[in-house]
Amino acid sequence: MADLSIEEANKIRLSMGMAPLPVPGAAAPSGLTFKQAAEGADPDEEPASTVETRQAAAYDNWKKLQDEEEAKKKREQRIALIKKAQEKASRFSKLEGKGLAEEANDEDDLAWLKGSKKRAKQIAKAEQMQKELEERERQAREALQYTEADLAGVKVGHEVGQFEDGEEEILVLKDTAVDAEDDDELEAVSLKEKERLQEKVDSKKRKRAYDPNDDESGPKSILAQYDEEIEGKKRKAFTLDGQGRTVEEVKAEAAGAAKPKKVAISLDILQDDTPTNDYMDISEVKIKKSKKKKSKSSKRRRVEDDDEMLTAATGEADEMEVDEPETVAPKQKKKTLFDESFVDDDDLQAQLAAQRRQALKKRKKMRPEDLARQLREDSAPETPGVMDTTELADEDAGALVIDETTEFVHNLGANAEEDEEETLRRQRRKSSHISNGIASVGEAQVDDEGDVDMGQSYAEAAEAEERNARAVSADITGTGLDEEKTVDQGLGATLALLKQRGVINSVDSGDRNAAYRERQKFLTDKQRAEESAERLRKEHRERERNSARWNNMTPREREEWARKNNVAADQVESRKLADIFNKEYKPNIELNYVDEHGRQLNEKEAFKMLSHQFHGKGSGNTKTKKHLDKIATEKRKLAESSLETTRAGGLNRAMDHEAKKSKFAGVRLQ
Amino acid sequence: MIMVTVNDRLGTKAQIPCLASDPVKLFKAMVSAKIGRPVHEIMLKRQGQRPFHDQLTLADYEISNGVQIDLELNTGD
Repeated sequence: MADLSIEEANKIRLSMGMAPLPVPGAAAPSGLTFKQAAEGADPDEEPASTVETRQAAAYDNWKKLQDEEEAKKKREQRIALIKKAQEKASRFSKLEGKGLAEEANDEDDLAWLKGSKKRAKQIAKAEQMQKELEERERQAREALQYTEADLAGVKVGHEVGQFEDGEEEILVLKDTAVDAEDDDELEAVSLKEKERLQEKVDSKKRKRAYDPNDDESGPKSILAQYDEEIEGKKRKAFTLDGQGRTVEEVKAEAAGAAKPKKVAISLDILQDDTPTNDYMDISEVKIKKSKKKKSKSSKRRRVEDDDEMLTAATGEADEMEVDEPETVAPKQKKKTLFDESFVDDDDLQAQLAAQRRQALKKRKKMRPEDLARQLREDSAPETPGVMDTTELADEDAGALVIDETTEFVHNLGANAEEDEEETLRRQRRKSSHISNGIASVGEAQVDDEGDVDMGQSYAEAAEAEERNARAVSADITGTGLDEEKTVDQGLGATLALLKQRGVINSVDSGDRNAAYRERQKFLTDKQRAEESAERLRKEHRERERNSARWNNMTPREREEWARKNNVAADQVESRKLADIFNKEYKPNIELNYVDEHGRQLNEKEAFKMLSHQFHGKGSGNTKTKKHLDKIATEKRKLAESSLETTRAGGLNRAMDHEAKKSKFAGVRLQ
Repeated sequence: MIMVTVNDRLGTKAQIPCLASDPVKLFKAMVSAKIGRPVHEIMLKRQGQRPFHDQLTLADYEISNGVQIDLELNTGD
C-alpha cells in the first residue's frame, strides 16, 4: 500500500477542521513560522512554564539572536572602516615633512664646502664623547667586582657544620617578599632540600618528651618539647664577617674560653688488664678432629656438665659474656648424639670454652669479687638449679627409694597380712558363736567348707529354720496369687503389667527383631556398595587425570569426557543397587488406622471409618452412642486391676476367653 | 510536518504525514484512511506503554519525525 499522500491527508484534515499540511511543491511561507503568544497571557504566570508559552517565547528568542548577530556584523563593519581610515592616515603621514630632495637649501656649493669642516669637527666630538662614556662605564663595572668583603654582614641560613669539607655549595639569595624587612639571606638549594627531607622524616617519627639517649648538655628550658610550637622553629643561621670567618665565631672568641671544655672520661677502669683478644688467631688454632663420636656413659657426661656449670658460675663474676656459650655448649653436645653435622661446631665450642677458661685462670688475683665468688661456690650445691638426680642419689644413698617393684612387693606382703588377720577374726567369731549360740546362728550355720556346724543344738537349728521361713513368707500375699505389677516400679514392670492385661501382645517379637536386623543389614550393605562405587570412581578419575590423553584434551572435551564417564558409572551403580534391592529388600508394610480417640482400629473398623469418610456421613445417634459406650468400657477395663472379680473384666475376661477357646462352660477350680 | 510510522506486528505498516500538534483523534482518522479500519477499532500506543488518549496531541506523547507507534485492535475494553 502506498503511503498516505499529503493531498489525501490534507483532505482529511480539512474535513476535521484542522490546518492543512504544508505541501512541499507549493510556495512555503517565507522564513520561520512561530506560534503567536496568547493575547490574554497572564503576566503573573511563570515564564516558560508550559509548552505553549515556551513555543510562543521561541519567536522572541529567535528575534533576539537575530538582532544580536546583526549588531555584531554592523560593529565589525564599523571597526573595519575605522581601521582603513587610520591606515590611510598613517600612510600619508610618512610622506609629510621634507623629502631628501626637498631638504637641500637653496645655498650654493661654496657654502656647503665651508660648512663641511664644521660638520666634521662636530662628528669627531661626538665620537670622543662616546668613547669617554664607554670608558667610564667599564670602570664602574670593574669597581663592582664582588669580593669577600662585599659579603660582610650577610646572613647564611645554615649551620657552619652543614657545609661539608671539600664540597662546593652554591648559595643563592633566599626568596622573600619584596616588602619584607628581613635582610638578605643566603641559602644553598641542595642543603635546603636536605633539611626539608630531614624534617619530613622527623615529623614521621614519634617525638618523645624525654629522650634518654639525648646527651645534650647545658641548660634546658622547662618543657622543652613545646618550645618549637610556642616560639616557632629556631632558625639556624650565621653571619659572614667578610674575612673568611663567621661573626658568631669571632664573638665566641671574644667572650673568651668561658665555655667549659668537654673532657672525655673513660669509665672502662675495670677493663685495664683485659687481654687484647679472647680469641686466638685462626692460624694458631688447631682443632683436633675427633674420631666420630666418643661413646661415653651419659652419667659421666652429666657429671662433666656439672663441672662446666660450676666453672660457668665462677665465670659470671668477672665477665658476663662467658656464661652464655658455656651453658649452650653442653646442650649441643647432647644433640650431637643424633646429629652428626654439628660435630665440628661442637669442637670449636669446646676449644673456645677451654681458651676462655685459661684466660680466666691467668687473671686470677685475690680481689673482693673473688672472695664473694668463693662464698658463692660454697653455697652452690644448695641451690636447686645445680642439683641433679645423680647428685641426689650420691648424697643420700641411705634414703628410702620407692618405685613400682617395691610398691608391688609391699602390696603382696600387706595382702598376706590381711588374709591372716581375716582368718584369725573368723576363728574368733566361731568360738563366740559356740559360746553364746542364739545371737547369730543364721549367718554362721555353714562355714567355708560347707560343713554344717554340729556344735549347735537341735532346738537352735529348728528355730533358725522357722525364722528364715517367716522372712520369706513376708513376700507372699494372702490371696495365694501373684501380686499385680504396678507402674511405679519401672518400665519393665509396666511392660509386664501391660502384657498381663493383654494390652500388648508380644507374639512375634523375635520375628520383628529379625526383620529389623535384616533391614539394618540391608541398609549398611547398600551404603557400603555406594561407598565402594564412589571410591572406585574417584580412583578411576585420578588415573585418568594423570594420563597423557587427559592432558592433551581441551577443557570442553574434558568436560564431555567426565560427563560420559559419570553417566556410565551411574548406570553401573544403579544396576548394582537394583540387584541388591531384588535380592535382599523385604519391605515390611503395616497399615495402621487410628480413630479420633486414638484407638488402633482393626480391619473392620477401619473399613467402616473410611466408608463414612467417603460418603460424608457417619452412623446415626444410637449407633454412635453405642460406640462411645464401648470405648468407655474399654477404658474402664484397662484402668482396673486384672484381679478385680466384681466386674466382668480382667481375669474373668481371660477365663471367658479360655473357656470359649476350649469350648467349656464354667470354671475349673484347682 | 513529521512522518510517523504505524506498525502492528502482523504485516501492516504505514507512514503517516502529520503535524506534532495534531490531536491523536485526527491521527487515528488518518491511520484509518490509510489501513481501512474504522477509527474506533484503532488503538495506538508506544511499545510497552499505555494507549494514547484521543484528546492529547502527538507532541504530548513526544512523538517526533520518524517515530514508530504500535497499532493494536481496540476492543472497547
